[in-house]
Amino acid sequence: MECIVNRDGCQAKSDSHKNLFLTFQEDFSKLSLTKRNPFQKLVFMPRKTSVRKLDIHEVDDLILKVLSRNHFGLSANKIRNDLPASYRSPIKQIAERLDNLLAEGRLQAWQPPKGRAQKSPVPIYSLEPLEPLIAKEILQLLKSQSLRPAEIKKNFPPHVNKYLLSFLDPLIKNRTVKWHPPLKGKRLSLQEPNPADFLSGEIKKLFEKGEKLGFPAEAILYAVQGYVKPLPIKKPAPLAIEETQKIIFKAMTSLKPAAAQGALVYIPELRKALREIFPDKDSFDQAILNLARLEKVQLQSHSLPAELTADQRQAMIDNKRGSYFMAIGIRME
Amino acid sequence: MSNHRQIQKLLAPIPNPFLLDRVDSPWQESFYDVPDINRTASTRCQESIEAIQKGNQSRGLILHGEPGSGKTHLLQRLRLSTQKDPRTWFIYVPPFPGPGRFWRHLLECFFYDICQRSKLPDVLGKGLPGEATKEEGPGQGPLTQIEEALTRHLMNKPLASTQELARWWVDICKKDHPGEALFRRLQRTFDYLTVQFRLDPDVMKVLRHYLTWHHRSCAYAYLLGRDLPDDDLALLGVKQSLDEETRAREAVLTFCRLTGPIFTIILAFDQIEGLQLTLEDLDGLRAFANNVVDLMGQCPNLLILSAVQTYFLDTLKKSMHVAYYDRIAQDESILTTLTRESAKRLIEFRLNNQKEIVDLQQQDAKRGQLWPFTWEVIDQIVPPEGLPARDLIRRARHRFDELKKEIKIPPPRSVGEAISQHWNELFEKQLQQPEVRLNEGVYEDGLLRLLQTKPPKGWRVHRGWERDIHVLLEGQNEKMGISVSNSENMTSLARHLGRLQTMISSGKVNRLIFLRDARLPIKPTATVTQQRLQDLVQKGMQVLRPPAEAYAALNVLRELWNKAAENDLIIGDSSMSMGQLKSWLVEKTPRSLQELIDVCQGVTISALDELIDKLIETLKGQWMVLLEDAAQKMAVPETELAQLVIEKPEVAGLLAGPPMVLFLNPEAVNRT
Repeated sequence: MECIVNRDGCQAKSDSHKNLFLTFQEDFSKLSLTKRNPFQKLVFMPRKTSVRKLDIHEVDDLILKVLSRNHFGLSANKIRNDLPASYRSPIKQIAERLDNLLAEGRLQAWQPPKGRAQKSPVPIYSLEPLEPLIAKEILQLLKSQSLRPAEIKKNFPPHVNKYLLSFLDPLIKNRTVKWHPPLKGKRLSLQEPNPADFLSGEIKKLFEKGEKLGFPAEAILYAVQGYVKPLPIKKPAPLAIEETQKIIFKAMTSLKPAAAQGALVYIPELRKALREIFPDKDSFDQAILNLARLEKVQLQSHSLPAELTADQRQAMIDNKRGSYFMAIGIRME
Repeated sequence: MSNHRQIQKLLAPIPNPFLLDRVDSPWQESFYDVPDINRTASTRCQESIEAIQKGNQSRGLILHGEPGSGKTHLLQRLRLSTQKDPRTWFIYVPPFPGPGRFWRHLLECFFYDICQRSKLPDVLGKGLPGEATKEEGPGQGPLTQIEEALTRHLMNKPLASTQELARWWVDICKKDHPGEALFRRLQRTFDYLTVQFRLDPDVMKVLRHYLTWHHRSCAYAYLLGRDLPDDDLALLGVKQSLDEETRAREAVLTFCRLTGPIFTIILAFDQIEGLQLTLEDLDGLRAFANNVVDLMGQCPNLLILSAVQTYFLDTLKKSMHVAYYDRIAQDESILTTLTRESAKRLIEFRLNNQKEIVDLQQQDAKRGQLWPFTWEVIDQIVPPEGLPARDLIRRARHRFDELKKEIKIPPPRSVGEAISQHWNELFEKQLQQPEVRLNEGVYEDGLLRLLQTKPPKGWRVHRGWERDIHVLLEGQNEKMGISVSNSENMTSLARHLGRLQTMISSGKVNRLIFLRDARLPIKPTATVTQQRLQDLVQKGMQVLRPPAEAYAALNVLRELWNKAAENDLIIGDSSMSMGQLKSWLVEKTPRSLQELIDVCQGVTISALDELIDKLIETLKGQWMVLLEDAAQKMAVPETELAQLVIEKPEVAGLLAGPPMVLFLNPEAVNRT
């Protein structure tokens, strides 16, 4: 049985041939080209004598078809290998077609990091952007379990496995995926590590010993809390005074429109309104005091500081004269 | 000679220009003012006045700031500004003594202030007739505010100058002499005004008496709200005094309406914080809001100015309906703290008011107007965030003393000693002041504060909620009422006592104290009053006649209390808190006040209590005593003693005999 494929028009010479061609084309589309098929060899064995011109559109379609069966993409070489033998033109030509498809936006390419090798690794072509695709797959895998990197790798083809850490890196950086402390190997998970999973023995020992010494559980917990060191608060970059004034005045007038005419605004309310810009007490207090020093605002102290609760004092600003600034107003004179 | 020594030598004979650091009343004569300081706050007040005149509707204005930022000073500035405006009255209203006395208190303040001669400088400056003699009387001297306002009506010249008005009086008095003739002559005009402005006829009649110097002192007492004797009322041609809230309200409305629509009346309510007895007590604030809003609704020409401390705004808002607060706080005037620049101006002003300092400044061109101070000194005494005016003056005073090397380190004084000394000064001053009206409110409010601070053992003290019961003491099963009446009208007093008789009979109170100032006699000829009084005394009522000292002491107590309530009680350089004042009051109660407490304390110890105390004393240490022996020792009949023990098992028990034996309940030993 022979098949003559006219590269210009994809037309068979005779009707019988034509039918046969169509039949083969259908079969071809059904077969997985990644698996070697003895029948394929028979069917697509080209005749040495035939002079064929490849249709580029047809090649493009076939490339896309190959990639549609490989979600995680393939390198140019692999794509070429998966093409029907009669379409396996030199790699250069295949690369040309891939570049063309890339330019048309019909496929995506992912350039693996260079690593230690001097030679740049070959790009991986896929129909969808590869990074989000693999990230989605990783998140799906970690949804209900923590896994070692090797266990994750098993779920991806080798050309992706090789670069798994590159795909994981952004997920770890943005804290979507977290490294857990080693417990039968280092693991990755979507959840924060639970100390109970890692320190269960030590916790058990602590409470057992505490119990022997006659300490109730609450007392031990209280003692443990004493070891907690406050986490350093990251301070945002200080704002320029003009910017500070603008922000504070805007917040004041939005809390009380008459503030623009000098009406007073309660400092605790202003602090609350500006919590995102001045997350800590000190930055807010300093911003207000700086404006007062520049005579942009006036500050009014509470007359009965002894009546204030600790929380109320905390929400106001110490005036260093035995009371607390409770209200702020834009200076009008 | 070093610069420091030279300054010290130069300043040595000069008094400190920063001694005066507070204004106690807007009517205070001395006035040191830097108009630039708090100009915005003053402008806001003026804008409110203009808005009333334009809109023909009353407005509320809240004036607030820190303690010592100059609230009363600003009121003084405002009062003085009304001197230039013939269409404005200024009335100063300190805290009223209890929610049920708002109108009577307002009437007293109102009439007292409109009888002030605020336009005096204007008159004296123009060299008017009568100036040389400085005699009083129509056409003889300067006019009071009320006289001016009425004269404008009479002349039908609402904007006439003070000079013109005084001249008119000279002319009119030539035709009809002050007294009855003038009183009769003005009748038609006054009747016309009464109808035109819907005024109270009695108040207008008495006002005519006052204006024409016809029974003027009686008229003055009546218009201040004193409950006058029938004879005086007959003299004035009226039947009822203005000593009840409804009558006082009518009188206030009459004064407000009388001025006409083009007139603005500033009612400056100061120390609003003083309306609270305790931090939880909102009755006074509510009464203030309700009555003030009522007044604003009745009269279109009022500026209700409420001076408070900024911290108190929240309490004020919570104490009343939001719509009332919005009305009272329609406009806002805020006193600012001083910046370094404004502090410099104030210091310069004070220095330049002292002639000796100005002379020294002019002797050397290098010295300048700030000498002996410098900018560096101002930087040192004024913190970068600014400070209130009073703090600045105090710091400047210390600095001036340092420059003079007159740093007097006073011997360390305890808080108690400082308050005692201050108390004595105020008390002496108060005793010397002539009393125009013996205000019952002073007794009511003063006693309430005094007894709440130092209550009789086992008794709780409240404001009375029944008419005529002004202070109520509640014991375990008993209620004791204190009723105050300074009525000079014996018919009113008889009615008052009659109501007390009913109250005793109905059992609303078990015991009564009737309090009446010793300076107000009860006429022996007032038969009904005397009878009722005797009857009440027989029923156990205690009559308390406090002397002038007690009245003065209660007045001083109220003054200190109101200042402490707004954290403005400054003695020397120290600020005294309410807690410190109360502790002092408990530990070092002044004699005049202690005497009042002792009377109440004495009454609260009932005969029954005395008997129980005797019984415990008899049984204590012996535990069991024969009934017969105990009765003999206690000088009571056996049956009465047995009855007492049966009724009071928590004190003792009775073992049936013979012989009958009493035993002490151990719990009674710890009885308080």
